[in-house]
Amino acid sequence: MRKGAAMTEDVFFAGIRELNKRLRAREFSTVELTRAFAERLEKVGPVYNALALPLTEIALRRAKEIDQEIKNGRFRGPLQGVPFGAKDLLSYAGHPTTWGAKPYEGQVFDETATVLEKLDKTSAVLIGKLAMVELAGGGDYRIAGASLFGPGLNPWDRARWSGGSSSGSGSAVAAGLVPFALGSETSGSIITPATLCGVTGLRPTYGLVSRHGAMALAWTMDKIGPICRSADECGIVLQAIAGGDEKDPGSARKSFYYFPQYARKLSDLKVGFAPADLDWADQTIRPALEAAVKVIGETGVKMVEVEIPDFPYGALADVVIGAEGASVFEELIVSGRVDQLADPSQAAGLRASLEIPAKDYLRAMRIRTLIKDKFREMFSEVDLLVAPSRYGPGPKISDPLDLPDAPRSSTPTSRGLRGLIPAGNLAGLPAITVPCGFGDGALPVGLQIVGPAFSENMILVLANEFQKRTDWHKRRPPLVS
Amino acid sequence: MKLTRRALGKAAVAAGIMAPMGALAQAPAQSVPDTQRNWLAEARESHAGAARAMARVEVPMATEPPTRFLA
Repeated sequence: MRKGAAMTEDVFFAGIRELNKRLRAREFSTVELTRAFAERLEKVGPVYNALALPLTEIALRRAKEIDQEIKNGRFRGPLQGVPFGAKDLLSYAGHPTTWGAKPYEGQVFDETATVLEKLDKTSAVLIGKLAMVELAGGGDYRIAGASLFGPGLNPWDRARWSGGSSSGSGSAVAAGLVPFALGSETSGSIITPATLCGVTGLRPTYGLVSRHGAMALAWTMDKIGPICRSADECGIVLQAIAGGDEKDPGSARKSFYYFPQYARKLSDLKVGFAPADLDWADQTIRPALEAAVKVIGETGVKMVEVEIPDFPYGALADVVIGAEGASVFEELIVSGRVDQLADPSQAAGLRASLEIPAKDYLRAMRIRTLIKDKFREMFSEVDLLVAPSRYGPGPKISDPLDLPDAPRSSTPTSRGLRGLIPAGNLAGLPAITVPCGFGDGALPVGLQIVGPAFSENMILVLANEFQKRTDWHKRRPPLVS
Repeated sequence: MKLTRRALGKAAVAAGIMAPMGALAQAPAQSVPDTQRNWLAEARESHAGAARAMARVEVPMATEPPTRFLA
């Protein structure tokens, strides 16, 4: 494509590797590509309440520099010249970072988050900050509208929730507004929006990616990770953002090199799954999940039936996140500014969390030690786990998020792997969600793959193979006019 | 970065996986308008329920909290 030619819709869904290849082939320039994505993000982002802050002018200046790099033959890898978006919980020096919350609307930092600096070094181009649930949902939100930017709307059906708390990151990738985005997860905030929006999201091992410059919610559980169209792209982005950082006390001081070709062969892997998960799943998404597990079995791995260790994971996550989050936001709570939040239940949740006794927090932390031990035992029997990313379709925007379950005719006798999201987060384990079909009309369904700490390459090998055998990750939501 | 209680798995509550016996505040009947709900009392009850759920886990005396949080 040369100057003056319009970008076709295909470009917006082309993927990182293809965009970079076409940039290097001079089919279009970085400036042209950046302008096209930035204009699309500014125009369409608000349709999904996905955009927090456009950074078009800065992005175009950076794109011009990158075009010069390419012209000079300085190739920096697959992210060079590729636009992206970042959850508005990551600081970008000199520009507002709202954490999705009214009390922090005018907040400006003078430092840029480590992950954004790392991506800048790869010559990826930040084109905008993306919307999120206020304070990443730290007070336990109960409405989709718990955000300074309004409810995250799902590109597959705008009457449905995009998921949270990385709501804009999920919907922007799904709608082709950015080729990839950064999100964050304390307990489900990458896996859920990626699943509900039909894209691929990777939660790294705790400590693998620096959180310096990111809003803290729970120091012992916060992680930053990529949301992309494919698992392969998640591997590319993870390599760029991973690595030790002395500015992050939780840093594992480890790097990540995306070398799936050197990971173990699929035929050597044992994958744990739970047949009861299908019984737990909403009947509208069950066929998609059943087919996905079948595809995993066809990859050559050995399937082994497992059951999640018996702990009250949701309660534990509530206590740990509540106690740490209330400490982080103590001034906000005590000052009363917490009442500026959009969701009154979230304000109340933060207030109540300030009263969590030390004995409860410490008990939760000690139980985490037991959980880690149990998962270590489990991963001596199997290499990976597969489970539904979510057990139901995306909720309607108009519904509260704490509606009780519909009555069941029978309750499954096994726990299956339910609770794997809080369990995996409490234990610091990496996970990926891959789109695996549709249910309840045309709403995306996802399958998660979880592994032991620092097993990202092994997870990516299986996810890549799944995506070689399926095309769910290539599907596009309906166009908006 | 946190998912809602519901998103953590509504059915898990019923299954006793997440927080059995009312660890999580039960949503009041639909007829109670949001403006009349006592959010703070519900949040406190939620934490109390979480504490009850944790109390049912046997924790050996020698178990220490993780000093580092890596898995």
